[in-house]
Amino acid sequence: MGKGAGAVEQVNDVKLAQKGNKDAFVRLITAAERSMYRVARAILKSDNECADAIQESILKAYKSMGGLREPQYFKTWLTKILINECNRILKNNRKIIPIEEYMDQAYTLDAYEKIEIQEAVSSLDDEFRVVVILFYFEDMTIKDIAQMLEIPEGTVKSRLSRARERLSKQLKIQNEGGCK
Amino acid sequence: MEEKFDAEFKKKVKGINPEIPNVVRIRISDTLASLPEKKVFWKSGYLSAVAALFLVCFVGIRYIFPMELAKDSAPESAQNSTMAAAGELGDQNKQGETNSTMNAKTAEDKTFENDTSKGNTSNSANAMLKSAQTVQSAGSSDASTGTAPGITSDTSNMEISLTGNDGKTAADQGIQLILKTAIYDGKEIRIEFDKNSIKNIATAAGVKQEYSAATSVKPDSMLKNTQVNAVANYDVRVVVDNIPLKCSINVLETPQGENQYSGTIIIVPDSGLPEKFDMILNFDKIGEITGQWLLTTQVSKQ
Repeated sequence: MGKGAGAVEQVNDVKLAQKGNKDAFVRLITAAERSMYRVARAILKSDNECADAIQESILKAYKSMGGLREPQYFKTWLTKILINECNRILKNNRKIIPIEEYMDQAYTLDAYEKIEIQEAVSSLDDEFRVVVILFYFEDMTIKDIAQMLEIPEGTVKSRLSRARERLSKQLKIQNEGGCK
Repeated sequence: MEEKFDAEFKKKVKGINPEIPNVVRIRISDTLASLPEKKVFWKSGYLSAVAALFLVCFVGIRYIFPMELAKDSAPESAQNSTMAAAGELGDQNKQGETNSTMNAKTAEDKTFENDTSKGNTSNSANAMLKSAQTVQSAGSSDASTGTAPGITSDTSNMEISLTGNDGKTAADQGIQLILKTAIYDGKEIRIEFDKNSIKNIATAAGVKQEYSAATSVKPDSMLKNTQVNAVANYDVRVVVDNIPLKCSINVLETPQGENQYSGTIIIVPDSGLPEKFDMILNFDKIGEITGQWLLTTQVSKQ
């Protein structure tokens, strides 16, 4: 979640959206769309599924904006809706994942290193990948991730720990001494 | 060690922003464009506040303000003008009294409805006579003329001063109710009252003192929110501690003289009442006469 002026603007937009201001809601989604796609892509295997999940999440969020009590947690709240939607789609489509979709590149990166990171993250098991995306890419706390995924904080920590080991091996980032 | 890895890795991924594929971007745009305009409903808190405010205003206007108006004893000129508009109070000028004879709502209505009385603060007797004559010639009651229905113009015979709106006495439309006693014995509330009226009430409306017949039974629909066994043509609501009382009501009248009656109201509440409570009797109709008579009293269990 952004900090400073951006965060204040977001809180204002959330309050406006809660009062029925559609433009404010559009601004909030536009600001969060990249993040939404990243989270969705961490769970789902195809862009079409991501589009479905994001679309449903937007509609649900718009409908239930009034239920958000703390405007500063809008992104966390939206992400949770998205994860639930992704899980629902994943559950329905688990048996029909085309291999070519699975191997599809999720991100277009602008440098070799970024491609390397993306590949490393993509190669992680689903349960690790989601945690990594939320923790490293979306900068969420372990507590928030635990709430969002509805798993204990200890489980988040252990998944992160195991993900770290694999990432460090692939990316040659040493746990002991930072980057090579 | 983990912290170092985390810091390093976060730093590396910071610049990674996935390009959103067109299929997703278009879907997001379409979804946002198709969002319906949201209907904003007030939160329950606001609704409660508005409801409470409305209730307070209603109670104030309905029950408190009329009594306060009577207590405060408005300027004589204004009252006389109002009385003249109503054409129902007899020769107030002769008596020189300033007691209010009508509740606030009625007074206001009459003042605005009757052109004869507008701005006339000194010749109220003349205005009253004019108003009464209008009724006589019309031969019927008409509130828009500022005349109480069924009241004749024979002001010379008025012997009763039908005044007072102090809670114990209520007067409107030429009928005065005087609360004498109110006793609650744990089962029923027994109220003794007197009723006085101007002569020949209802004759102008073609109804001859129908309301004065004691214990004539009216249909249940006569009373609002109450179950009625037998009523002497009274439409009355009972409010106890600001809450409408569900009850059975009987009203009995006994003639005491010309246009004078003593009455008894027996109220049997559906449920028990407190040891001590404030009671409001709100009469909307007496016989065929529609008006407003408010009697208030504090009742203790005896």
